[in-house]
Amino acid sequence: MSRMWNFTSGLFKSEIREFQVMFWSFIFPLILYFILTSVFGSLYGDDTQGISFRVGIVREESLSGLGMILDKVIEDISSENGPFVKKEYGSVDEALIDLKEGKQDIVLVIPEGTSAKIASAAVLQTGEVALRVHYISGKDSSSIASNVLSEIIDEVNLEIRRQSGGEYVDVVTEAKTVSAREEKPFDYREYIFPGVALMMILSVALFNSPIGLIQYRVSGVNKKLYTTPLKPLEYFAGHFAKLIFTMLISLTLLYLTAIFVYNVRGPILDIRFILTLLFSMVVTISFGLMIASFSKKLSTVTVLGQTLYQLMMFLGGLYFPVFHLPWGIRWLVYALPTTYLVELSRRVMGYQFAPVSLFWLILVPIIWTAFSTVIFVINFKKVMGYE
Amino acid sequence: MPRNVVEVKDLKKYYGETKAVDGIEFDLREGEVLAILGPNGAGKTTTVEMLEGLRKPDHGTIEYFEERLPPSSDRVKEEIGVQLQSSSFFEYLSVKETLDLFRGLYRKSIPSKDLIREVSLQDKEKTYTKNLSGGQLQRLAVAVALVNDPRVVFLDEPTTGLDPQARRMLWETISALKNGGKTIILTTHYMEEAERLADRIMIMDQGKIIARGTLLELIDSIDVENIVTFSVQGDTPIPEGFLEVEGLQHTENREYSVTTRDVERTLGRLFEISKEFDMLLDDVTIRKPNLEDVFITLTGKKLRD
Repeated sequence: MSRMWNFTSGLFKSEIREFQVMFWSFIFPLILYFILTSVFGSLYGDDTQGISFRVGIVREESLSGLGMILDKVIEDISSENGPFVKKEYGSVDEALIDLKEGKQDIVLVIPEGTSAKIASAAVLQTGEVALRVHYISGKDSSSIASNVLSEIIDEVNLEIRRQSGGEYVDVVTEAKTVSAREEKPFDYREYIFPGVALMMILSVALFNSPIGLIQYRVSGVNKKLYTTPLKPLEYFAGHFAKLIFTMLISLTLLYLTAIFVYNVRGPILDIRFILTLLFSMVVTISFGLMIASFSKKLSTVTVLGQTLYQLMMFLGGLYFPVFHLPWGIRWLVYALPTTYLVELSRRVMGYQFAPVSLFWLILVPIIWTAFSTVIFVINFKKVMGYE
Repeated sequence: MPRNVVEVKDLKKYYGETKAVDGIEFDLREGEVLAILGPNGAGKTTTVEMLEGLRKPDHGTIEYFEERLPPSSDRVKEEIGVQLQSSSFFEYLSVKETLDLFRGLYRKSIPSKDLIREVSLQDKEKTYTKNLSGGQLQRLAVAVALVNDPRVVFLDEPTTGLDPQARRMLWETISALKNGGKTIILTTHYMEEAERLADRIMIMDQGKIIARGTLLELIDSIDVENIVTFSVQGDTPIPEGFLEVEGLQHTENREYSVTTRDVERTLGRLFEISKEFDMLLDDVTIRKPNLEDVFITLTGKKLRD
C-alpha cells in the first residue's frame, strides 16, 4: 500500500507541475464558468415566450354538446402555433408515468360526466365543472404550463357563456401536485455548475489520463517501472488516485468560485449532488482508460481524446439543452454517458431537462463504466505491456 | 570460486524470421563485471531485457541465485537494479524526488543523499529531470539502478551518446561499484569501456555468442601478435592487386590494417606493392592487438557497423 501511495504522490507531483495540466485542469474551468455565467446568466429568466409545453390529455368520456367547445379549445391550443403539444392517453396512470419521467409537462384529465355537468351548469346553474390538471411542483415548465392552461380554461368559460345564450358556466381546473418538491426558480449560475464541473472532470479523464499513460509508455518511463517490484494493479491504482486528487483540487476551486463569487450554495453542497460528481469521475476515468487502450501512439490518443471530449461536452448537454436536436444527431446525445451524468446532477438540483427517468440516468453510465473497464482490461496488456 | 548469481541456458528469442537471440548459454558470477559486446542488432539488449524480466524468452531458462528464481519473481525484482539504454523519468520531479519515488518501490533502499553523492549530482539535487543534460541523466539512471542496493546491476550502454568527459565520469562511478563488490552486466559499443571495466567479455553477433573470456584470453584466441595500420594517400581507386595482400583488412575510408606475426616481412611486402601500384602509404603504425581487433577478426566488421 505504501508503495502505491509513494508512486501516486510522485506521479501527482510531476503532473501537477506541468503548466498544461495546471491550466486545463484548474484555471480553464474557472474561466469558462465566469464566461458562461457572464454571457448567459442574464439571458435566462422567467421569460417563457416561444416555449411549447407538452400536455397529456386523458378523456374519461367523449365530449358532446357544449362540452365540444372544450374539444375545440384543446385542438386550437395544440395546433402548430399554439402553446401546447398534446398527446392523448388511454388512462390517467399511463399519462402520469410520462409526466413523472419528464415526457409531459402537465396532464389534463377530462373526467367522466363533464359534458353533462357543463350542460347542467349552463341550464340549471348547478355550479362549477372541474377538470383535473396534474403537474410537477418545483419544475418550472410544469408549473408555468399549469398556469397557462388555467388562463385558457377561463376563456373557455366565456365561450360557453356566449354560445349558451348568456348563462354563466364555471369550468375550473383542479390542480393536482405530482411531486412534492418545492417551487424552484431557474438560476443559470446554478444550472451551469454541473456542466462546468463535468467539463473539468472530462478534461482530466479524457486528456490527462490517456495522454499521460501513453506518454509514459512511449518515453520509456513505464519500461523502467516494469523492472521494479511495482505491480500492474498498483500502477493503475496510483494512476487512478492521481486523477481523483487532480479532479478534487479542481472541483474545490470551482466550488469556492461558485460559493464566494456567484453565491451558489444549497444544491451544490447537497451530498447527493456531490455523490453524482464522484460517480461522474469514476465513469469518465474508465472511459479515458478505454481510449488509452485503443492507442499505441501519442498522436492517436490525442486525436481520439480531443474528438470524444468535444462530442461529450457539446452533445452531452453540458452547457445547453440537447434533446430538441434532430434525430440525425440526437441518437449521439442518447449514446453519450455525459448526457446522463449532467442530467443526473441537475435532477438532484431540482431541474429536469431530459425526458429520461432516474433509473436510466444511473444505469446507462454504469453500463458505460463496465464496458470501458472490460475493453481496457482486454486491451491493456497489448497496449501498455512492454512486449 | 565465486557462486553463480545468474545461469542462462539455451536462451532463444525470435521475431518472425529474425533470430534476435539464438540459443545462448552463459553464467554470471558473484562480484564480477561481465561485458556483452556486439554491433547493433547483435541481440545484446534483447538478452539483457530477458534477464531483467522485460521480455519473455521463446525458449530456454534464466535462473537467479541459489533458489533458481525466474526473472519475473518479486524476489529477483527486489534484488536487481536496471539502467536502461535510454533513460526517461518523470520530467517534473527533481533528482532527489525521482530517487525518493524509486526508493519507495523497494523493501530496502539506500538514502537518496548517498546515491546523489555517489554519482556526483549534488549540485543538481533540486533540478527537474527534464533540465538535466544527457550525461547527468545517465548518472541519475545509474543512481536509480542502485536505489535498492541490488546484488545484480544491469547497465545497458550507459555511456552511449556522452561526451568523453561525461563518459570518464561514469566509468569512475561504475569502477566504484565494481570495487564495492556489485555483480554487473554491462552492454556496450565501446571497446575501451569493456577493456577498462570488465572481468569477462562476451561477444555477440547475430544472436549468438561468438567468443567469451577475459580480455587476454580473447586477444590470445585470435593468434595475432602485431597489427600494422596505414592509410593510402590520394583519391585514385585502390588497385585490385593491392587488396590481395595476405591478412589485409579495410577499416574505414582509405585506412587498412594487416595482422601479422612477422612485422618486418609484412612491412617490406606493403612498401613493395605500393611502389608497384604507384601508391603512397601514410600514418603507418605498428601496435599490439586489442579488443577491436578481436572483434574484427571474429566478425569481419567493426563494432559500430
